Parts: sequence; C-alpha cells; structure tokens
Amino acid sequence: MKIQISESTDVESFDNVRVIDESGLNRLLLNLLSADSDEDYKLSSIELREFVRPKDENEDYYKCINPDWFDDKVPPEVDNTTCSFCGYRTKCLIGVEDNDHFEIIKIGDIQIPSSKILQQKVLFPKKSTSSINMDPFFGFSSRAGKTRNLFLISQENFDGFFPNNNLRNVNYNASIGYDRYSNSSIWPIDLRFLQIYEQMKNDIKTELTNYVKYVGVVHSDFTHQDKKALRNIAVQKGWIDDKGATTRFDDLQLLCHRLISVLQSDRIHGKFDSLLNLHMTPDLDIPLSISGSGFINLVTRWIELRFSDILEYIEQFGKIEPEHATALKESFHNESIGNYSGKISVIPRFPAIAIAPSSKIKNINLEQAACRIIDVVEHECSEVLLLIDPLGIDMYGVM
Amino acid sequence: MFEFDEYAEIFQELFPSSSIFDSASVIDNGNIISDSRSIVISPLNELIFAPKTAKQYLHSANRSLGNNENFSLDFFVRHVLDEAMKIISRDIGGKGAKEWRIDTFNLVKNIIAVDDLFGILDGEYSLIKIEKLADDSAFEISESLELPYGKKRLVIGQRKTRYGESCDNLENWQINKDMEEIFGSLVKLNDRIFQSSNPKRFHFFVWSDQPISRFQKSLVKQVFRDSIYSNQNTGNYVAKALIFISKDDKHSTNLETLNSMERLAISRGKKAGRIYLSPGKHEDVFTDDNLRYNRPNSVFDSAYIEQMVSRTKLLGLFDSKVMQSERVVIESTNDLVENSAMVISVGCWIGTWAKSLEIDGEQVII
Repeated sequence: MKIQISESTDVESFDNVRVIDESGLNRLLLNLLSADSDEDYKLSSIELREFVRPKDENEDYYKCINPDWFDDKVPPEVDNTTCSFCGYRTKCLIGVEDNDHFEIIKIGDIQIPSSKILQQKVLFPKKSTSSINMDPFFGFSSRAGKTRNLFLISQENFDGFFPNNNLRNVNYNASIGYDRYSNSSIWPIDLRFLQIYEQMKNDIKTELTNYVKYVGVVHSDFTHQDKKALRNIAVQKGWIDDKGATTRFDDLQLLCHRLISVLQSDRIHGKFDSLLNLHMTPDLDIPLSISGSGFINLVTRWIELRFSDILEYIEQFGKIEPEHATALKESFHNESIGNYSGKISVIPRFPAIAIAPSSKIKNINLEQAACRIIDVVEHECSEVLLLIDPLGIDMYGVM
Repeated sequence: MFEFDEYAEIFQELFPSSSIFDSASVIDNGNIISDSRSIVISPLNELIFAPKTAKQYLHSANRSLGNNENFSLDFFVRHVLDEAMKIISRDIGGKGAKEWRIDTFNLVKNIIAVDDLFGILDGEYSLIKIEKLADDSAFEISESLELPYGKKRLVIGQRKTRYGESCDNLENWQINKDMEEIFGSLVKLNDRIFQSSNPKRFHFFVWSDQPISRFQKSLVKQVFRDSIYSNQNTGNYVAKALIFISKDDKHSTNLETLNSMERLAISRGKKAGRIYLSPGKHEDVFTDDNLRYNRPNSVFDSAYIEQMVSRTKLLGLFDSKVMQSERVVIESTNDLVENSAMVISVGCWIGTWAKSLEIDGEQVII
C-alpha cells in the first residue's frame, strides 16, 4: 500500500474531472495566458480556482496544499478538477507519481487498516488546521520526509521476533538499541562497550583462556558503592538471594575482579580504559538504578550481554577452582546463551505508532525492549498493531 | 477535564512575558521563536505522543537556526559553510563539497536540538576541533584549529598557550594562508551565538477531575510556579504532567475519571516528581486544634491522606511510578476551599538526550 507523504490527501489521477461551464472557463484561462506579471498571474489563478473549485461539501474534497501561493489565510477545499485547472499545476506536488511516499508492508497474517485510516488517523492525524503533512517520524529518522518502507506488524509477532530478556522493572527511556545476541535492550555505554568488544573479541577470548594467571592473584576489596551496585544488580537478576548469601556474593566479586583484570590486561592495549574510568549516570547511560564505578558497571553489563564468555571462563577455571565454579554456575542458572550468529547483532530501537482497539490500550507499553512507541491510535482492529519505521535497517533481513 | 483558557489565564498572570500556546497553534506555528520562554498547555492524553511533538519542535529548521535573513544565526552558519565549501571543493570537487555542506547544515540543526547553540563550536560534535599537537614543550601547549570534512580536516591555524593561561576557543590563533575568510566567518558565528537567546519550551499536560476553579487557588499557583522554576536548568524542552485530583469520600459521580488513553499517557511520567497535598477547610487538620498546630506533619497521618490514597487507587494511579514522589503540603489557610485535593506534578520522558553520553542514539548501529 502506497501513501503520499507531502499531500493533504491521496490524489493519484485526474481522470474524472467535473464538467465546468466552458464559456466562463475559457475567459479565465485566457486571462491566465495573457498575464504579464507574477502578480497578474497570481490574481488570474485565484479567480480561476475560485471559479472551478466545488462550493458544496464532500468528504472527498481536500485542502489546497499551497495556500500561500494564493494568499489564502485558510486553505479552501478543492478537488481533482480544481487541481487539474490550477494555474500552478506544474509546480504543485499533488498527484505527482514519483512524489515521496510510504510503502506500507505488512508482516505476518494481519488485517491491514484501510489506506484512509492509515493516512487520516495514523500517519497524518488532523491535530491542527495545518494543510502540510509532517512525517510522523520526523526527528526520529534521518529519512523522514523521504520515500521509504514502513512495516506493519502485530505486537505479538513483534515480541516473537524480539524477545525481551531485560529485567522486569528496567527503565527503557534512555535505551538506544536492541542486542539480538542477548535479546535485550542496550544503553549508550553498552554500545561503546560492544563496539570495542567486537574489535577486540579475539584478544579478549585469548585472555580469558589465560585463566591460570588470575588464580591466586590477591585483589583489593571493592568500594562500598561498588559492592552496593553489584549486590543490587545481583539480587535483581537472581544471581544471589536478597538475604545476604555472603559466600555466593564473594564468589561473584572474585569473578568481577578477574573480568576487570582481563579488560585491563596488556593484550587489550588499554582499549577499555576510557570507558572504565567514565562517570555513568544511572538509568541514562546504563540500565542500572544504582551506579558503581565504571569498572563494576562494565563488568556486570558484560555478564549480561555476552554471557557465553563468562560461562566459558567459569568452565575453564573450574578445573582448578571447582568450588568457585560450582557456586557461580548455580548463581547464573537463569542466564541463557544467545544463539544469534549474524554479523550485526545491534539494531536501533525502532520508533513505532501503535494502532489498538480501545479494549487493549491498557496493555500497551510505550517503551519496549526493541521499539519506542511515539503515538497510539485507537482503531477497532482485532489486535495491537505496530507501524514501524525501520530507520534504514533491512527488516526483511532482520525478521 | 481540560480547560485551556483557565490554565492559560493563570500562567499569563504568573508569567506575563511568556508566550502561551495550545496544542493546535503549536503544530501550526511550531517554528515560532518566542523572545522568552514559551508555555504549551495540552490535555493529558496528548502526552502519549509528546516525544513526537518534542522532536518536531527541537529538530525543525527555523526553530534551530532562525529565519534565513541577514544576521540570523542561519546566515552565519551558512557563511561558515560556504567559505569552507570553497576550499573543500578544491580537494573533493564541487559535488562532494555541496553534499558535505548539506550534511553539515543538518548536523548543526541536530547539535542545536541536543546540545544548545553553544554546541555548534564547542563540544564533542562541534563544527571545529581543537587538537593538541605533539610538540608540546614543558611551558606551553601547542594546538591546531581544524574543521573536519569526511575523513580529512582543514587546518585553519595554530596557537601556543602557556600553561596556566586560558583563552577562548577562537582566541590567539595564527591563521594559515587562505584560511582568513573562513576564520573570520567562524568569529562572526561565535559572536552571534553569544548574542543569541535560545528560548526554552515548557509543555504541560494537564488533567483535573473537576473545574480548576474549584481547587485552592494558592495550590494551583504554586504548582504552576514550581513547574517552571524547578526546571530552569534542564534541557530546552521540558514536559510535565499535572494531575489535579479531588477527594471523593461520597463517591460523587460529578468527578471525572481517567480514561485508558490518559492512564497510558501517565506511564510517560518519571518518578521523583512532587505530590502537593491540599486539605480542605473541613478536614480534621483544621478543625482539630492539636492537629492544626502540628501541621504539616499531622497531614501525613490524617483521614484526608487515607481518603486521597483510596482516590488514587480508584483512578488506577496508586501503583504507578509517578506516586514515588516528594510530598509537599500547601500551607496557605487564607484561601481554603470546601474540597480537599492533591496534585501530582511529574516530569515526563520525551526522548531527548541532552544529559546522556550518546546523541540521537536511536540511529546508531554497529
């Protein structure tokens, strides 16, 4: 389904024109042809349009999209016939075939709302008297205002494509993307971490296999704030229980010390140093409500985002420290390893408009793991639908 | 219930120099730049699409750069880009330079939307970069003023600054040959930025369960005043939900309830806002002398609080994060009204990134 962006209504052809009084029309067209100044031409165009435009009311009529060309304070209602005789026909974008448009593509077996509903209620709701359609994704997509595909998918189907492994009460507001490997949202620091991680992946894995060199190293104690932050995330994730579990927490601290040592090892050439020393704002740069130092924040995010590394490491040092490894494996029994094997695991959180029947509005989450809802439109369809701007991502490839 | 004229009148009285808009006029005149702050008042359900409204305002071209007239900010930015384009085109050709100019102009709009005007020439994403040169001596710092284009940079000039001395971004430069014009345009742009005022927009999403005139006047004024003053130092666009709730011990049918869209809208609210408590003249905190003298502490243990809690439960708000807010008791006894009430005032997330380490993160992929 194709929907024009820059028009107030969808006019695709001018085949069916009304019959106009020929004698009056000829005179006005002659005036237009004989105009010898821009001002003269404009006045003739105004007269011509006034003569041709319909005077009754009809829901098929639409507002002129260039009222300023005619000095209109309020754009008048016009129809196809008016536009076909307009003095500025060749300049106007209305009805131009290659005008910028949305191609609405449905994913899955859903009933797609009519183009009129999509145009008038979903994409360009008349919340003002303005005759200009503003791309609803303006400010969210660098392609706003330009021809592109929008995808319509049911919320249920979307949740199937993008499962959510985030903590239940996480605040998604500042989340910037979705990691398909860990099936969870990512925050600004995560993105920077993953960018460096991807570059240094092989070195990190090699360093993790050097587990023996970390065994027996005495670490200084974490600060009170770091312990507080670690305990907070560990309890929320179920790595330790909320009653204290001192031994298990000690094992977790030991693991974090060793993972920090890996990130700071010579093999990594200080690539993570600037991140490790960064001040991070809770709920904004990281998903944690309590922030520790950059070291503890980064390591806990590493555990969550790339758990396979951690599990592999635990397996290896378990050969010489079985009691620590067993305790940690028990702590992490709820964690799962992602099976995503594609090249790019991180995608943006897509902006979406939700279309929902009134009975299901209460179930909508405005901020979701893989999308942010920027508007909700009430429409009596059978299920909640999401109209997504893919932000230039190949959705066929993703889905 | 939403009464634009009533709210606008109160805001106008409190902030006479502010421009006040309703939702429709904001959409029609989205690019108008007010001389001072602008206040937009909308019904609560419109908070659902607040991120869309905010982005349209923050990223609209005219709002960002002013009109394309002589001596507007737009004029000075274009001047810098035109001068740079002349030199860049010698390297990458006219077509490439033109594309760079279009992209960079759009970048400036985004910088302003996120970092304010000062971000144009100063900050992580600014048009110019000041790089330290490797030949630092023990006594001075050598720097280079550069304008990046693609993977290359125009080197505009160099300077040396003694340790301990400070100089502004565009001070003390030895300008390279052919770079005088572009440097001159940067200085003019810098001056224009410092002369510009970038107005702040406050967008309030208001709901009340009965006409606002029935709430204690000092309560309404304090809520509106605090909503402006408590957000003076935040970003360029502030969105707040203001929810006026009356006590309803008789289960009156005259009071409105929140519909599903309004409840959904409230989920945009952040925690740690403010709850204003305003007991009416017949509450025990005024009729009982002991409680009266022990205000405001006695308010928190009064029957009034219990009834307000059950009212928020009825409205479906009690478990919402907007209830996790600081409590403020309205102390004025001069204008007590019959109806006890409370107000929830809470900041709302609109998807701007001024405080984050990342800019426009939605479009970042690796």
